[in-house]
Amino acid sequence: MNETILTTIKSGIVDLFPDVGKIPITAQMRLGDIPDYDSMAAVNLQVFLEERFPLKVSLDMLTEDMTLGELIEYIGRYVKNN
Amino acid sequence: MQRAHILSTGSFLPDRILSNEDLSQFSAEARKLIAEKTGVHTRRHAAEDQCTSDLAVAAARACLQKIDFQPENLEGIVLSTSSPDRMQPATATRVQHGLGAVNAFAFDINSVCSGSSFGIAVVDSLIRSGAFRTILFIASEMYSKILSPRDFSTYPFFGDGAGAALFQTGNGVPQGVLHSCLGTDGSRSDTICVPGGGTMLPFEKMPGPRSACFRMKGEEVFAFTMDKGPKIIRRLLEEAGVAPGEVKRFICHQANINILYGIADQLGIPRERFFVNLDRYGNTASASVLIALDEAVSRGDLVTGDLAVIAAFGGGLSWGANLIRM
Repeated sequence: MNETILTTIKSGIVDLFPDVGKIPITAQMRLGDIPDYDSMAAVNLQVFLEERFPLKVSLDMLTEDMTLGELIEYIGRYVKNN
Repeated sequence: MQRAHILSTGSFLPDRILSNEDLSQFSAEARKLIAEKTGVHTRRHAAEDQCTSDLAVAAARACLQKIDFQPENLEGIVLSTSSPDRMQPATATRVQHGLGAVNAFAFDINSVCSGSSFGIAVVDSLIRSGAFRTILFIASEMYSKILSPRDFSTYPFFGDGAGAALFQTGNGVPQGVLHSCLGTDGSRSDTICVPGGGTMLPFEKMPGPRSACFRMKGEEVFAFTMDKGPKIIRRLLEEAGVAPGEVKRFICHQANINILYGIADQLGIPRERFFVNLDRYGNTASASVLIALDEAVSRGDLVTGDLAVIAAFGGGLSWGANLIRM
């Protein structure tokens, strides 16, 4: 399931942040590694995640230090419990 | 000296009002950020069947009808827009037809949000050349139709609207455009753009629909305007030999309340001398200056003899300022 979630997140990041270019999108990537990631970008990511997955995610979670691995784990737990 | 002076102003805002709360595609915690980050509380969106030229014609009519000026007496129409009806022809051509300005030439200029400042300089130059007496300058924008509704970095902050100003040769009167300063930094042309739909990225080669939507690098734009805004105003006033205290109103591009107040504070000018309407209309791109100018005139903030500074900054990156004796 985590691979599926990562694939979905990857496609979302490429669509939302075209300047990510050739930066490898892996579970180790921090949100802050995305070029120009700021509070506005966090909202765009929030909109994407809440549309693609049956979950709510607060902006406080989507900080620059959050890794995609941590995000995937959160999504996986949320989907499993709901 | 054949200065171009302003005979009349007008504006048009679409009827549909969207509050921050109406933007339900964003979470409640995100919607709270809108006013905090930019000062925008409401914006106007055009109807589905309206396009940029419709707003332009309405603003132009408001301007001309105020002084009963007949459209067939116009020699030229210059339209600033970065959200045209179509790639071509110029949106101004439909405006010319819609107004019935059968004797006017008509063309567009596009300097994104600094379009009004560039447009005033262009119209002033045309009139000062002695070749033309009466030119209508309009700025009309419909960003609601070129933004991605899910892009929080742009969608909540822009609105639709149009403004117009009728310029005529002054023939010795003290009023008119006294001075203009313009600037461009093309090395930063990617900072604010609509990437797709032109020859650089034709429609059939776009990776997705978002490529045809307006985008900007917010932090970089903020830093740019805080740098260039005060500089262009200082340069304008120094070159014109005018002290800041002589200026009645500063009519700046209505991008962000923090930018407006930041520029005022850097220049040491009281904030209340900077006209603000972005709380009600959002960022209307190049139309913001002419809409603000019309409102300032309509409510008596600017009367004959007053000095006004116009200042705008935007995609290009570009910046401009004009000093006008009303």
